Parts: sequence; C-alpha cells; structure tokens
Amino acid sequence: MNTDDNNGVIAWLLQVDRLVNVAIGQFELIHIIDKPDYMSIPQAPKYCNDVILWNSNIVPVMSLASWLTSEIQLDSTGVVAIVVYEDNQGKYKFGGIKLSNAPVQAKVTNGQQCQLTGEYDKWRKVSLSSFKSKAGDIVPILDVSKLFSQILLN
Amino acid sequence: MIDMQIKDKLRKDNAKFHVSILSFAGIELIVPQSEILSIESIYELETSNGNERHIGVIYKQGVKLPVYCFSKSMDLYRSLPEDRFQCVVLKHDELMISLLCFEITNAVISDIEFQKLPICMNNNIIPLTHLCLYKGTDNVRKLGMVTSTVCLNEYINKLN
Repeated sequence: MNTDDNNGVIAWLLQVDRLVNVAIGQFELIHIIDKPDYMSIPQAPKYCNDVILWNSNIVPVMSLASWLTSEIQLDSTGVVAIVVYEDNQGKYKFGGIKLSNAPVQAKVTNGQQCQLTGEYDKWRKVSLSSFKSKAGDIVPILDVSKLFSQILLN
Repeated sequence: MIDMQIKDKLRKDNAKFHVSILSFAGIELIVPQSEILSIESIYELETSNGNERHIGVIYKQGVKLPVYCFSKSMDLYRSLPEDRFQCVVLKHDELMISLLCFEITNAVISDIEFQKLPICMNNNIIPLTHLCLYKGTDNVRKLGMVTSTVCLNEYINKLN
C-alpha cells in the first residue's frame, strides 16, 4: 500500500459480499467497469468462471462472494474492479473482482492491525494482513498476486 | 508445445486461421477446420436408451461412433434436446468423436490472438486448450474459446 503520510496509508475498500469488505493497495485498482459482457468458461471453478475483454486483454473475474459460500452468487450490481498484479514470472497481469458496491478509499494505520480469526480464517490464504475498520469489522488486505494464482484451486 | 500444435493446426496460410465454430446452448467453441471430418444430418443418429454417456451413435467410415451432446456448462445430456440440428464428426489422427450442435460455421480469421487459460481458473477439467481474441465478420473484437478433438476426447473420458 502507498504511504500517504505518517498517519497511515491509503487503501481501496472493495465490498465483495453483502457483509465483507477487503482492501487492496491504492495503485492496485486501475479501473472500474459497470456491467461488462462476460464470457462464461465451462467447468471453471464457481468463484472464477467468467472472463471479460478489457483493453485487449482477456481478464479472469473473481467472485469472492461465490468463493466464500461455495455457491454461485448473483451479480447484484454488475460492478467489476480491474486490478493489476505481478505474476510469479514478474509479468504484470490484470484480474477482475466482482463488487457489491462501488469502491471507496480509506486511510489505514498500524494501530488498526488485527488478526484474521473465526469466520475470517479462510482469508489467510489470500491475505497479506488485516485491520479493523472504523465500524469494527475485520478487513483482509488482499494479496492480489496470490488471489489470481492457483492457490484457491488447491 | 500445445501452443505450437494448436497454432500450426489453425494456420493454413500467412496469418490466416481457418476455423470452425461449433455453436450449442449459447456457447461457441472454436476448433481447427482441419479437424472437421464431416457434418452429418441428425437423421443419421441412432439414439440410445439414456443409460449411456453418449446420446446415440452414428456410423462413419464403417465405425460405430458415439455421439455426445453438451449442455451450456458442458455437462453431458443423456436425452436429445430440441435445439440440435447438426452432428459434427471431429478427427485427429485415428481419433474420432462426434458432437451434436445447433450450428457449425466455417470462418477464416486473419486477426486472432491466443492466450492460455488464466491459471486461477485452470483446474485441468476445463475442456479448452486456449482462449482467444479475434475479429469477427462484423470487424468487432470478440472473445473465443478454443478446443480440439484431443482435448474434447480427454474431457469426455474424465466425465463420469
């Protein structure tokens, strides 16, 4: 995440489920698309069975709501965040994340750091860390490279 | 290796790719045109009793060939849906498989870009070799799903 000043860093909060927000770095979110045309990939995992065409790139789209529940979740808003990450060969790639709401920016400080416990334990696989929001909710900080690796297939 | 194989099979002349597009249940699969052995009438189909994975059989080159029919999610149908009018026979070396389609169209694509399946979704079940970006006849860039006889045969064998 980008250091804004001594009082914290700027992050994007992405609402991926009715109840769950995740955070990514300020410069990892590069575009928002409203109601893109999806192409469904037969037999792909439920949480990642769509691709979209964005800037001449074929971009896989994650539904973290489907990953959380193991069920295909209906796309309530049709908003997709395009994120950039570095793959394990050092190449920049793009991924999409389905959102339940438009993303918002937030400032996060070290003092907000917390553990991923209870129902949030599942997020350890794809998180760098986590913090407590001002509302008191646990917010996983996504490791975007891991999210778009093979880690969720295992 | 697979990249080269599929590109070689699709490439017929300089930068032009001769493909067939198999349409059914709202999805389109792109296969090398060289792998289309024939297109048979659905009236040639002898339907089976529903206990098999295939929907029926046809006879091709003296061989009894099972005919498969996919749903939108590429699960196998066991009874004949109403929207399948053509039966395509695909061939690679000695391997032949037959599928029921809504429509089979041939196209020559001069602008096509292949991409591997994204690793986050590649569970080794997906019956595709590649995804692609191509310019359709309307000159609009489209997403496509590329497969082959070998890939479809492996996929069918994996299904219960």
